[in-house]
Amino acid sequence: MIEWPLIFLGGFLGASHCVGMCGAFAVSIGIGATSVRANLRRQALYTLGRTVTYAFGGAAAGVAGMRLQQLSLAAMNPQAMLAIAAGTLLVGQGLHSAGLIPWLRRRHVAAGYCPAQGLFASFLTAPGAWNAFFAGLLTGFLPCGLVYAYLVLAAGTSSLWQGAAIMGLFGAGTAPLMILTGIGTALLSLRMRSRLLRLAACCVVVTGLITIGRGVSWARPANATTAPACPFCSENAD
Amino acid sequence: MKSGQIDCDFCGLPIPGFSRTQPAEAEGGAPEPQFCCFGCRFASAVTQERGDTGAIRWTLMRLGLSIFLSMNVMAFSMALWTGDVYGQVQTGTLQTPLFGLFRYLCLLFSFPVVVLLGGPLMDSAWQALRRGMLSTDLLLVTGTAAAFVLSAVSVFRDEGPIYFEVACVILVMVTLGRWFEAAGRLRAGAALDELQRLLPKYVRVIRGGGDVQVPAAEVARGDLVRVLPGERFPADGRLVEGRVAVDQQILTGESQPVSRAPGDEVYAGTLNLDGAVVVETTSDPGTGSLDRLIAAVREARESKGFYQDLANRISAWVFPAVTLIALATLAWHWRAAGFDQGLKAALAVVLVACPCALGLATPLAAWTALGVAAQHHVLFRSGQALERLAGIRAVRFDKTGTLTTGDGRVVACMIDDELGLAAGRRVLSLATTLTAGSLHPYSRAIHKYSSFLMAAGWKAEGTNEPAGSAGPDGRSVFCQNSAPTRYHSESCTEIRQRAGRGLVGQCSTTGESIFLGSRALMEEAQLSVPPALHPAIAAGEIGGSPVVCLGWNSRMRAVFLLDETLRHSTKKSIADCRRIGIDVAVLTGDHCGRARKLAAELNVPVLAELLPEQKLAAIRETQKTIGPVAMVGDGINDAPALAASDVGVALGCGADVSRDAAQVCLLSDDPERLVWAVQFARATVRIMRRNLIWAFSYNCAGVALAASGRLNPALAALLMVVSGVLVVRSSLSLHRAPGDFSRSHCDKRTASPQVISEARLPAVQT
Repeated sequence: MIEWPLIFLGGFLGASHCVGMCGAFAVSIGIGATSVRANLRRQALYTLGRTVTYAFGGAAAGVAGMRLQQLSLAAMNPQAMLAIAAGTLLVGQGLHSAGLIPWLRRRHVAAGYCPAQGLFASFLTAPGAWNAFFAGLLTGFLPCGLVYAYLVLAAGTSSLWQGAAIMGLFGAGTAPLMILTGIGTALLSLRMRSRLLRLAACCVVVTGLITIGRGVSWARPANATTAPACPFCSENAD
Repeated sequence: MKSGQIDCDFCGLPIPGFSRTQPAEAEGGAPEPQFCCFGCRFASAVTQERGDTGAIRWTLMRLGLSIFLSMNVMAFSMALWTGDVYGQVQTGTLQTPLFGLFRYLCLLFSFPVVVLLGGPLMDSAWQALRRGMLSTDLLLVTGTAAAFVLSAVSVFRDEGPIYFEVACVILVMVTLGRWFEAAGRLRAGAALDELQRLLPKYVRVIRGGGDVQVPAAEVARGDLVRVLPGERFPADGRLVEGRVAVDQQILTGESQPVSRAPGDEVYAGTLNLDGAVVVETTSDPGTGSLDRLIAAVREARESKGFYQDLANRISAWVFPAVTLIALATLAWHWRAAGFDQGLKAALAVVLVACPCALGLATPLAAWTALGVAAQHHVLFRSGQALERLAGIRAVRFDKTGTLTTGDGRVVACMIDDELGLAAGRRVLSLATTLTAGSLHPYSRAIHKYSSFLMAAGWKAEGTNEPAGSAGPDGRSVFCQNSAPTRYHSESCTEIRQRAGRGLVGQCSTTGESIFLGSRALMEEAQLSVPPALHPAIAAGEIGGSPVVCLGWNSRMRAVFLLDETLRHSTKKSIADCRRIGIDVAVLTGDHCGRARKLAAELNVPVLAELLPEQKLAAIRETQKTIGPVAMVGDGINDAPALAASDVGVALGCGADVSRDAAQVCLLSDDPERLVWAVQFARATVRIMRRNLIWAFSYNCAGVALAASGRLNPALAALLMVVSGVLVVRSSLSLHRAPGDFSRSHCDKRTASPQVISEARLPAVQT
């Protein structure tokens, strides 16, 4: 599929968006480490944990998509619907990251008590290596628009392993930048980071547009038996 | 701590329905720690393990591992459900062995989860059972174990459905959910913990000529303690050495510092601003002013208001009802669709019906509210007080000491000179002794005035202005003699207070009854008004000043005209009360002239010349016509009226909260906090009601859905956690109190010099 590399790239560059929220966690994971190698190990485990959770989410999303397809609720085939929804979400997320949708900016709700903070903090700050893994596991559950968009994409595949693979690829794509952030080298200046963020946003928007196109080309009434092949690739839609 | 009520070792909140039996002694003789719920037990284990080394040990690792394994089990289960192992690619010969493999993998991965998380749950259920309580933990453990065992049997027999993911998800969700609730309960006490943390743990005690650091709990009464600038006083005490400015905001809400000199009292928890001082402690360890405040709030937590009572009553029959419904569901679905369906449906019923949210809904909000209110200088003595204050429709203020500051002063004193020079001196000395022990603001003002004049050796000159022609404003008629001589003071004994009227005493030399008080008292004692004093009384009535009369032997002898200042926030408080829809009026025993002036100034109805019985009647009247009434007074002189109202609110209890019996105590002297307290109480009751309705309706709807067999138990477990978390979050939102201007309200005060020790001298005419 033309999308696999794009998904990885989306994750890679979208990670600069991740650095904003989860970068602090990566840094605190690194605090407990004694040497750069130990830190590297912790960061790798942390990212592995995140990726495992994403893959799990993708698998669940894939199964959900499959169920949706079996139920045939919608007017058009669910795969196409999900692809369009995913694409729209991705475009929206990309534009939002680029700062082009000011009125959609949610006000940051201050206070609000998070019941999981005790659990999360315990794992984050504990020195054992495996605790970094568990912290990553929990981080994967954090609400994030980018993740949701890719989850919808995973649901569109209507397949357990493909859904898991998409999310796993996305997680792997975020790995390099997050690991670098955690190690503590301030590789990117703020200006560089914002440029990268904008590039990432564009990448995300492009992925979204392609996905919408794919969905549109698949769209058929639910009772149709076959769908034409996607012009970009040779795989059949269903 | 009340007898029979013990607190959870982790969150510090009372354990419901647990009467004190002898706790089982562990090895070493230390009493076993008691927890209110499984979550607290778990959280306590985590915290203890983390304590010294900072490392997470086994307990948390268990949870993390279980989450990871559960995710895998769920993934395998999903693969089994959908038959989608390799898409549509592999079919036929490879499918069945692959399926079998996945089933064994599910068993393998879920076994550790059941062991790791099921163990503590079973432990908790067993502990509850030993206490004689049947808990839902027991039901859950049974159901989960049954699910696991049956699924394992299916795997070994190579046929039959499996539902390992149900067991795993239930265990993970229950542990997480209960822990979140425990964390929420701990946070409910956060406000009190913050207050507690203010008190220093180590104290500098002067022993043997040097300073010794001693734990605060070991400082005895009478010890000399050195407190440096920036530190808080560890206990109540008397200043022995050094002068200091003290910030008493923690107790009174007033940000303006007060000055303390040797001999003055200082309170535990207040802040030493600028001087290194030595204090002799006057309170036992743990019983200083701040400790008493914290203890009062803890005590308040144990009381149950209406909503808590309701929730408890509902929770009481939840367990038997849930068991019955679960068994019925099991039986029904067993007959209809097989044992496994029946078990799943029954499990779903138990999970969804779990009354954790219901049991937590009201108390958590109440406990949070009590602590937050204490931080904002409002002390509710019970959850009931909170609920009642939320429901009031009218408020009645007492005037003296409540709407006015407690330091009035005498502006003029007119003495009937018919009996000559001696009368003046006699008046002063009798007034001094009569008012010596009284706490009424008027008495204190008169005492200050007359004792000052006595001490200065002033006495009356015979050249008073002739009777009947005193100046229109009744200026003081004392002047200094050229050769001041001391006067032997007469004193009063057997001083009795006539509530709402004044003081009566017996003169030590002549045995006459001396009366000091309002016009009503004079009339009751049948003391006639001499013509010389008419102008003074008239001046008081017209000018709206409070008037206090002194007389004996069937004649009034002197009239004191007083001046009192309104508290600066009085007008605003009254306006605010109106703004939130509360009817306001003022009750006072003062004469009508004073009342008229006050009514004009504050734009509020003032009922005047009320005797205490009449104040009571006014409150009853208001209860009948308008609704629940709160009475605001200073707690000392208005006790009957405070008790008769629906909520009694006392002002100025900052330094000594144990003295008052009023249900609500405003720690500061200002009635301004009243409106905040009412709004906060209303918000709290709203949240309690909302939580209760939500928890109850969610439970009912959930049970209906689960009993019909349509609810997957894993989903039920997730819903249970979500519901619990929502209730916790809703309750803890009280930490963001409405109109949160707690610290800045003091800055609005215009700077007025604090009267520290000098008496204000009345103007003197020569």
